[in-house]
Amino acid sequence: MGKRILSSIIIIANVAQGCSFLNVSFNGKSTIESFFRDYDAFVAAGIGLHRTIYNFYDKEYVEYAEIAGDLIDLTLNSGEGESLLFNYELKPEHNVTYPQKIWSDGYVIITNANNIIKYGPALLEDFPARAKEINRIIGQAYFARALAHFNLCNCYAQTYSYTKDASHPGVPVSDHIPGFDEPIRRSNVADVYSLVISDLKRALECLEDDSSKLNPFYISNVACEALLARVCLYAEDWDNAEKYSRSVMDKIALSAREQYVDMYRNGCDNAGTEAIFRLNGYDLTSHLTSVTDPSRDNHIEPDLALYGMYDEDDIRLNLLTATYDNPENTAYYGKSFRACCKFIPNCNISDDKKNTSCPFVLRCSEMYLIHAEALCKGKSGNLSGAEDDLKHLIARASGKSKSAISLQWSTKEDMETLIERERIRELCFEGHRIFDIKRYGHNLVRSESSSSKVKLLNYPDDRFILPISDLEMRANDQMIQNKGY
Amino acid sequence: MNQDRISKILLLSIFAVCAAHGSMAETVRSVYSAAELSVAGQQSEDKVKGNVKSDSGEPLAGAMVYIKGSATGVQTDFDGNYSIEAPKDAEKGYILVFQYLGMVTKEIPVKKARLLNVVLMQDNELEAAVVNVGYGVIQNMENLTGSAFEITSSDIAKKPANRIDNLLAGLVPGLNVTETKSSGRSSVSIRIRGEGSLSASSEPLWVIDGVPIYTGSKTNSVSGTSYTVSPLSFLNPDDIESMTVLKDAATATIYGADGANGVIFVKTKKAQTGKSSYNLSVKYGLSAIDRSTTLKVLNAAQWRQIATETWENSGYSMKIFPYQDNEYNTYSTTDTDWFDVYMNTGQTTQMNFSVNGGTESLHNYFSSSYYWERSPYSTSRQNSRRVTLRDNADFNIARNLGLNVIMAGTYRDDDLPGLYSFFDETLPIFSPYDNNGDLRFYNYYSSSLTAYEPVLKKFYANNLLPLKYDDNNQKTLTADVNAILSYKIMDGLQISSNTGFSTRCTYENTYTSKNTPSGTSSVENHDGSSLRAGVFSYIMTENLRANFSRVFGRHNVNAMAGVEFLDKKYFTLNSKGYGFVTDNLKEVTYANAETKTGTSTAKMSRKLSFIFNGSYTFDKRYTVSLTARSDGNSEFSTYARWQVNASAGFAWNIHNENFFGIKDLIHLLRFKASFGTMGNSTVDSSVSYGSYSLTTSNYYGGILGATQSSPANPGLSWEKAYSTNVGIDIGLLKRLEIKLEGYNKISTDMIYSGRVSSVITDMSVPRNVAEMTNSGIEVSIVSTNIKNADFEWRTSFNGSRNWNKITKLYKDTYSGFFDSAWMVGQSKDALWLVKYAGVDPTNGAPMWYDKKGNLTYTFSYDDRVFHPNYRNTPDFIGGMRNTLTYKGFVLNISLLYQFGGWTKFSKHIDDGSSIITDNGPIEMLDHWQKPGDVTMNPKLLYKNSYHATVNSTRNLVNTTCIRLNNVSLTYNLPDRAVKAMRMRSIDVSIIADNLYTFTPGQSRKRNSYKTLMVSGGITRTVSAEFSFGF
Repeated sequence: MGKRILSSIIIIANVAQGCSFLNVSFNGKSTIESFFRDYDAFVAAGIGLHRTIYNFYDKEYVEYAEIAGDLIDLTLNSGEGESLLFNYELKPEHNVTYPQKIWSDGYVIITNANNIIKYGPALLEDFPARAKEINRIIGQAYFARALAHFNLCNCYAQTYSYTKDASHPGVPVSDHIPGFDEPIRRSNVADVYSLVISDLKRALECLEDDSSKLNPFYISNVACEALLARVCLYAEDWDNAEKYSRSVMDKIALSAREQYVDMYRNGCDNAGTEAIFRLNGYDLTSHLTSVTDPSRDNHIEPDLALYGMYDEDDIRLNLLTATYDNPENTAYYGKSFRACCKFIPNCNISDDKKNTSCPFVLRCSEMYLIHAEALCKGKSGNLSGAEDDLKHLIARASGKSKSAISLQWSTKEDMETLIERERIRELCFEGHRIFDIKRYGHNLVRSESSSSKVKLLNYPDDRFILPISDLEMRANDQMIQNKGY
Repeated sequence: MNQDRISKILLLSIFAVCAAHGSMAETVRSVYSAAELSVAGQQSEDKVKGNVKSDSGEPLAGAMVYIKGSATGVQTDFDGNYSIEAPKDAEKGYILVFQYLGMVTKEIPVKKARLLNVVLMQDNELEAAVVNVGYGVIQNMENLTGSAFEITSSDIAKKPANRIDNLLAGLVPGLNVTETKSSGRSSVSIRIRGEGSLSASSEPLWVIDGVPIYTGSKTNSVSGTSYTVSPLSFLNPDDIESMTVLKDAATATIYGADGANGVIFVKTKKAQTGKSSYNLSVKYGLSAIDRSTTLKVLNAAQWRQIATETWENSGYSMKIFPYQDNEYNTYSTTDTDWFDVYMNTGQTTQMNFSVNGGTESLHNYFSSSYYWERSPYSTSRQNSRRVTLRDNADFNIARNLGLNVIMAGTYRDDDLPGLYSFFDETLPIFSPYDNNGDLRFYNYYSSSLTAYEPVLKKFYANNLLPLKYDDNNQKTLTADVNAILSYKIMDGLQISSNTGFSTRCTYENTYTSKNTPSGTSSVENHDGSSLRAGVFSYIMTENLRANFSRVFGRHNVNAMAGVEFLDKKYFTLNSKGYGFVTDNLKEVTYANAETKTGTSTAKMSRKLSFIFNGSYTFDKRYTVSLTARSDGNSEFSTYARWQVNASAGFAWNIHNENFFGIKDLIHLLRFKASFGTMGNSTVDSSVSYGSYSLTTSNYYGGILGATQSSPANPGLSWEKAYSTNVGIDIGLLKRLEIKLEGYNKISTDMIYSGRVSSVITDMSVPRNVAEMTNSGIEVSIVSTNIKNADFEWRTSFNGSRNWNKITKLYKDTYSGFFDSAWMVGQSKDALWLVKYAGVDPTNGAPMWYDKKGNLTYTFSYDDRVFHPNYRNTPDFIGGMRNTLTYKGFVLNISLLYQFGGWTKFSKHIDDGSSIITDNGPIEMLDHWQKPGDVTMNPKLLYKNSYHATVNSTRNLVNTTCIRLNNVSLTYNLPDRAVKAMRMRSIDVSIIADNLYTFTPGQSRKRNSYKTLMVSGGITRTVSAEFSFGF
């Protein structure tokens, strides 16, 4: 009898165990699920997420916006992808860099963000004492997801106002981790924007306002507002663009003129007071630094026409010429070159790990420009308000007081031209130009000296957006190619 | 109905069927239960008493004794005694039947009550009459609906005892054993009915006494050590009672999601009741490489001729020939046969001891063995030692409660120094020893093409140095424990719990000495490197089940339902370092601190399965069977964690039909068919869960970050196979049995890597997308050619043919490999080669056909095409075994054969391209020399760009061969002589393994498949064995 009881006990014990029997905890394994069970690992995932954004900006995104634009020239012998892009000859079958790499690197950000968004809430239950920090990382993930969708949509889709209701094809919205057999289709631009805006609003809820002690190398509450300002500008929602940019301008001060050049060329030590979100290049080998290095055979340099847009006393002009001031470099010492110095670190940085570039995602100067444009184009048509915003930037650049600046304008169109000019002067090489051209619906006009085969591209044109790579087209039946490719 | 009547009806109906075809053995079990019932309610009548013993003299407890044609029967008691009442009309005479499982049934006519002592003889034929498919499901061979092939201990006796997998070679139709050697170390792969997968494993599942053996996650090798000592080499073959190969759905679906590649169920020997019997056997063998199977390379004179011609053809002067006699090397007189340098005489020793016996309440089988092998390779520095202990105890705790405990432990110690894999390319003009007679470290020669500029160069190819100084050792301890508690609820219904543990711990140490060319990074800086690795595998299983087996009249019902838990853990540790002060201190501790590195891995998985098996036989004529198994596997994500497999089978014994009239001619005619599904779950789990990694490429702001390194594919699941099997068994004249089977196995959801949308990932990812079919035929013939009192000759033959075809790949893309490609419509192993067009007789240049069929002088990979006539796998494979018995002598001859198939002979024929540094095969003598020469080998040129060694049809060699695999001659000493020595049995055997290999193209002077089959040659062994029973 005893044996019978014993066997029954064994059976019952085993069956009871069976319910959760297959939920194996993978200690020492790095499966996604088990990885996200730990708080420290979650923090590391937050760090890794920022790195994916850095990769996206440093490798292709910024470069794309400038090479496709009209502010730079490309030396001969440049990389194949860069040359094709510069000459508007990209085809879907060019898979090595453009057009595939922006696409895939953008979705890498989204994938990593989606993992954090998916697993973060469970962690909140397990580590209630860390709720603030966990929420911060979840908020950063929402921001990152919004940023990547927004940027991808800018690259692969025509601008928001291309159709009346933004119903033209955008990019696939990935608001969860898709299954391998799930159909992945392009959403229309309106849907992409609505995800971007809702993500940013959720990010705002998750991230505490810490603008007073902002670390601009990480995604913050104010960065969400700043990106919302930009998204609304692109979506031509002037009221909200004005509202969000105003809010940021109230919290963040512009960098001083004295700081200005150093902010670019010594980014690790001097992020700049106006920095809202910039990417930390510390100890990383920057592609942007390398591709703008004038001593390299193939590099990007400012278009000659750009120099004429600045006054002589404009501090920003200093960022268009590189002078080799290191006496040890005898071959180049004392010589000056046309160069996009925004990514070229000072020669006197002694710490090798800081000898790099920290690309800006958002900074307050842009907010002034957004604010100006929103006022100008909004219902109120507050042109003098727009003028005031521009004067802030020009005064800072010239070192004069605001009152000493006078701008020539009489109509709204004049003001728009002034705003565009100021955007060029302020934001050149920072990954805005081609999107501004598309947004304004302007033709692409390159100077006669440009080495590109394409000196003029009339708007609209299918080539203003990138093709979807063949790799994607072949792997995904649901994908629709952009018109003209 | 009272019990007597039930049993009477049962017995009568069974006997009627039995009498019809004369095969009684299958009914023994059912008779048992029926007869037991009739023991009750005796009346006092005349009695026959006596004792039943086996041919070895053991009393047989539980033997059946019954009166033929009646329902009266008894069982013998523990001492083999019985007492049975004679029938009322005893005076007329009646027949007493004596039956015992595994013994030949005896019928003795009786007239009056008296004492009757009976000896029952062991019957080897009967052993094959039931098939054990695991989980306590024992099927009558006659009612089997699926394809199961059982090998018994006698089939594998006298075979090499190192490992159990290659014992199956040539014995099982449709099972292909491929043994390859790399650097002299063997590895074996087994395929049952073709390759069942593209990227997951195609290896069958091995189950020993109900516990699955971990044979690696994907192939039959385990990770964590540099070299694998197969997990199938830890079991002593002498402990095996039977191995059952389950090939189709009706039999293998009971293993569900792991059964797609077939299952090999190993059952170890069990305890018998009775007086203790002891068995002792000692085997000693000598082995050597069969030199007719080693690659034929150029000797020194031939090499000099070829090298000189090549050198001069290439426009270089002999004045700058790299090898000129000097104070270090006398090239002109050296002629080294490197095979002779490395090959030696090997030895094997095996000792087995077992004791078996006990009482009804406790009987026990204990065995121990020692195995030692010294390989003839690597100057005999490869050594294997194995000690095994095994105990199988049966406790009858209460009348219906039994406990079976199996405990086994193995210790294995293997020295595995290998040979440089291209040792046969070492130039014959180098000597392994220097002028002082020490092992040679340097050679002195020139490498320049413009001047004779000799320098001292390290002689990496001299393996004698590492063989002398290096370590390469593995020690493994395995422990397996099984406890099976069974409770008999009622007649025919039993519940049992099988708890099993299986652990394996391996420690590997390898050390590359600072006294060898590869252990030194430079002349000044002697260093040496050391690696220590540990692998720990733990498997725990719990199996709870109920088995039911009853006969109701003409209805035979069997059923089993169970649940199984399996928990598997696998850990590896690895530490290494280099830079040692002295070879005497070679632990990693003493390595240069900066060079030390360490890694560890952990893997854990669980399975939970629900199993059902049922079969029903009506009137010995029709059998249907159903099997279903539901498996959950933690390796797969929650969405795809469970898989259900099911199968159904049908068998029809036509010879038992009343209308079947030619029973004298055809005693067996049956048809069977089955259909069902099976799975294959041997995939890497990280694929389904995805992984996150902390790597330096995720640094941000100087802080280590983590990003997703591979995406989760929660839908990734088992590969699934749909298997159909049909078979016909024909038995003629009670002498000849022919079994024919045809099968079609469709592997679906095969894992294949392809791109998905970059929205998910930018990498190729494994998915369940591909499909492949394997179809084939199998034949097995067992024939008793001659049988009389003194002499018997039996032949068993089997053969199989398999066709493989890929039917679907991801988006119908194809994956090209070096010389093969996966493409829809092609076989998985179709060769993908450029067609060779021979040598242009005018100038000696090689020619190919391009894709369009035009002759070209330029080799291009783009011209690779499929060659349906050239397949990697042989067309027809199998084996044949002849057993001749004359009085006490038994001669066993086993052959393996394969017909068709092609392999590439590409290693060396490079037309002089590397002849200055590497020796070539003897075929290099046949080459183009002058205009008009018609040859296959072009003009010799040093550093030529012929692409000779790459993928063209030029190098194909037919793999047809016949191997005399095993021959043994055994002499059983006569009983009288044995008894005089107070022994039970004595036999002496002479055994030869790999005696001879025949290939059609073989020649003493040239290479053929015979010399390419096994790198380094085939080992031939001759042994003597003495066995004693007492």
